[in-house]
Amino acid sequence: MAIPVDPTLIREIKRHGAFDVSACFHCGNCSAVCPLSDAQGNFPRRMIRLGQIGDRKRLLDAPDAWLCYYCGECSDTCPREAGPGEYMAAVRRYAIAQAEPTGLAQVMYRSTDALAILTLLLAIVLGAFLVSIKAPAEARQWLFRLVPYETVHNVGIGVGVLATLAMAAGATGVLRRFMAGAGRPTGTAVAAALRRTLAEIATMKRHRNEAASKAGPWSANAAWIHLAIMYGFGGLLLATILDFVFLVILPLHLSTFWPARIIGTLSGAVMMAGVGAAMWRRITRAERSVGQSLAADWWLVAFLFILGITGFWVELAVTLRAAGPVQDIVLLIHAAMAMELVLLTAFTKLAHVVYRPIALFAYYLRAQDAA
Amino acid sequence: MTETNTSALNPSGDPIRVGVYVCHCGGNISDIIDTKAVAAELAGHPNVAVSNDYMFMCSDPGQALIIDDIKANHINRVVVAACSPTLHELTFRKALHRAGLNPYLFEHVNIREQASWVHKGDHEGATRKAVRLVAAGVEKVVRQDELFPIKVGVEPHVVVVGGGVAGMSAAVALAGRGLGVTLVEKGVALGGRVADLDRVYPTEERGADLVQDLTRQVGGHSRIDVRLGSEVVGLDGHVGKFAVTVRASSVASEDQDRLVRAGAIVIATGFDHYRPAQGEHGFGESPAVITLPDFQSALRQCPASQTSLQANGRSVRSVAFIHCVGSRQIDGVHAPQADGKVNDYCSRTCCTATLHTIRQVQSRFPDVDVYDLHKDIRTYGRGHEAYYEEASRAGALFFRFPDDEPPTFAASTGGKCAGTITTRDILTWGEELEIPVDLVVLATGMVPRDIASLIDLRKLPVGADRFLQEVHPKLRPVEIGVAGILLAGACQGPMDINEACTAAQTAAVKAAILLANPTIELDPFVAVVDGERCDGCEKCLAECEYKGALTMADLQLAGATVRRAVVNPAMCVGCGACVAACPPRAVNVAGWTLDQFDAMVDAIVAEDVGALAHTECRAGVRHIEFAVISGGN
Repeated sequence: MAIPVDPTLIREIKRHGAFDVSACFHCGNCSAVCPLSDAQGNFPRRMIRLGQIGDRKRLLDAPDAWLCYYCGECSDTCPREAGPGEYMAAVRRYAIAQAEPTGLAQVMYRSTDALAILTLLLAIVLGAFLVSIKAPAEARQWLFRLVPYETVHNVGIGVGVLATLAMAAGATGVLRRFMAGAGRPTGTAVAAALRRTLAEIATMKRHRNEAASKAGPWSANAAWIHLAIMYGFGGLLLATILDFVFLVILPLHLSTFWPARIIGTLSGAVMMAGVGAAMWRRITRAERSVGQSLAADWWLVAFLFILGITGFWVELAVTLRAAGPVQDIVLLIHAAMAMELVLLTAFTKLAHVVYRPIALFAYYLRAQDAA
Repeated sequence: MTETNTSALNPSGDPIRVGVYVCHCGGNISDIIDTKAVAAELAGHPNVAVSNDYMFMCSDPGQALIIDDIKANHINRVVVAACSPTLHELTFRKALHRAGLNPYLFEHVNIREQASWVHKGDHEGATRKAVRLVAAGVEKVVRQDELFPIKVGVEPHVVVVGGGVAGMSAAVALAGRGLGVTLVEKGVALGGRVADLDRVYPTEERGADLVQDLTRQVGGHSRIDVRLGSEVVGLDGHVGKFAVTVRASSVASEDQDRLVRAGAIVIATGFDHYRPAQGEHGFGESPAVITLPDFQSALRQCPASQTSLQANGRSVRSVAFIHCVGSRQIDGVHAPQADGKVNDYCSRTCCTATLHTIRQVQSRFPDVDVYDLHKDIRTYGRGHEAYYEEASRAGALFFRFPDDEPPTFAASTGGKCAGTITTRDILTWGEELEIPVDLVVLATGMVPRDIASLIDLRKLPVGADRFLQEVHPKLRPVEIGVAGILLAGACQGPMDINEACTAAQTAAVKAAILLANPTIELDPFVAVVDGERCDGCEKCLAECEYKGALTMADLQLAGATVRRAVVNPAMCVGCGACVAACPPRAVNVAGWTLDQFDAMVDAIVAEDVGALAHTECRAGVRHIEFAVISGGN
């Protein structure tokens, strides 16, 4: 069955950051150096060709793009400077945009202006919404004069539910794509694939092995930075949930420090260390991959950075029992942006926290199938 | 054309004394062959007076050995056993000449390509073979005649056939060197194929401007006589003295023929565009399939203000270019041409021309999708790769189809586009793809023009590709087997404008060198008839391929008038066909006589060099010198 050629696909992918990929003349040097290239030796060249001929289905059905941690060796080796590594990143952005039906992600990936305006607009709307919610007077005291404590919790739950629903829809879609045509897997196969996926995510071992600069301090290694951000972010999420569970649902009236504050503070510090290192490497263009960051990539780091700063500010205010209009506004910013980040999970780079594990799982599951 | 035949002995009357020199070629020979042993064994030959080996015979001290032996040891024949004669035969002939000896009393034996290089594993066998080859050389040289170059008077005028860029360039270059030129053009105007082109790579000039510039230069030369609407219908004579008949096609009568005398002829008849067969990639079946030249003229006629590409009354949103149409054809895959052969050659220019055209499309109509289907891309010229690079970066999508599966095109009725190309794509792991397109452009190659009548006038050599064939593509690139006839441009094979004009300059320089002196010296290796042995049977005439080289004439011999074969040494190429046909062995090629061949064969099969007979001053050794040929026709 002949495959119809569609030139629009590669144009779309190019707009997601693969600016030089048309120069590819299929020499296969990228596949020769790529640690992911299999016996057929087709990755990432295969992905590029599928994009060029416009085979949307096979491009998006393959979990392969998500296996790539962007070590950048292919781009360094490419004799045409076609940027195969950048292309893979663009395919991931394109896949995120394709997995949500609103077109919001696509708009934010294609235009820096749209990204800035939408982000700001949504923050203002969320902020105004938070401020406008009526709350009992006892909830409006001390730091929480502008954004009552309860409001944060209640709206937060709402945001969390919305984001989870959106993400679940996207996740179902991509999982269905990745598993298209595969037989029904056995329980043991699923367990094995899950184990491999979790081990890879938890340790980032493959990423660490592939990172361009294995020597040097942790802050020069993309995998360690990612681990710091990942565990930091996860710790903060955990702290938030614990705080909510202990103080609101149960409520146990435990010490303010244990366990939520201490976990949150430590996690926040770890995340900020990772975010700081990531920003530093982006600013100094330490290696090719971070040097090619788009606004949409910066967006996530910047968000985490602002959330971290405002978060520690609020914590300091709590510790020092300081209050005042500045503290109110910082808290408002922190709350609005945190909600915005969660709300936009399925529409931004953050979606990778779901799609990459799913892709790894599908890949490992199908690899067993093939074997 | 008289031949001074002194049937006397060798000029000095001295006994024949051969000098043998075995070259080491810096180890190329001596690492395999025991050169000392070869020299020692040859010293046993009864006619050999000196036999030595040396590191580099071609070096100055090597040549000095020969010159000293000629002067001090009265050597009067020389054999050098060394590399190929194409490399250094002339070097040693000149050395003989400097020593005062006739330069043709020399034999160059190749023991490098024919012994040491091909028998690396058998030192002893290679040495034995070298001994026999050198012994054969000695046997040949002792029977060698004293020869002198043939001298031909010169007409300082050149006929250039074809008024395209190559012909015009050649004419201008020749006129600039002081030669008269008759430029014969079949068409009604100068310019040829280049006049049809829009922009040309790599300078981006307009074809029309190039032609206009050259036409002005041609017109500005008083020594160039332009004959438009004319053809060459007759060609007699030989190098230095051709007689060319030029006929104006508008005037059918023969009395309007113009006879032009010329010392040399430059052929610049150019090429034709390959015309695709009916149905080849859909050609002739759908108006959406056109050739690259047609597309280029469409582009030329398309006003600069037009923002969308139009073809066949519809707006073109996608265009596919297919390479190698009519070139690099494969027997059994492509339909043969009229002569039963396929065009298996590469037309060389179409890759760059196609990519150059793609760049024009991309820059003028950026919204048009461009596809390029190729077997390989061969943008061989300096800077031509840039067109590929730019086309690729600007988004042209390349497909590589297998040699034996050319893409097919099927028109669609009422679809969104004019039709669909189906092709197998090597870059997509051999999968079959369908490309929707509005226009298909076939990058047609070059085929030789039909110049059969010109070829027949002088049996011009034609290659397997039907283009005129040079003597050697690198060593003698613009000469053909007929002395004085030179090639310029695409009549010789596919060339771009740059190459055609370079070839034209080369041909012009070659002609100018030929015609620089009042006489031309030609190698004397031509047929010589022994009037006493010849019985006038005319068998040789039937074998001779070269018109005018061999004729019958009445001669006075011992008081009687006899009919004998006579050679025109300027027309004879020394092929030896007549020699083989002559029953009484009356014809020989000077320097390569039957007696010499007999003796060489005897030497090769002889067991012992020392046992070969001593050759006295033979009665047959002659002094052959031709009179200057100046009569013309």
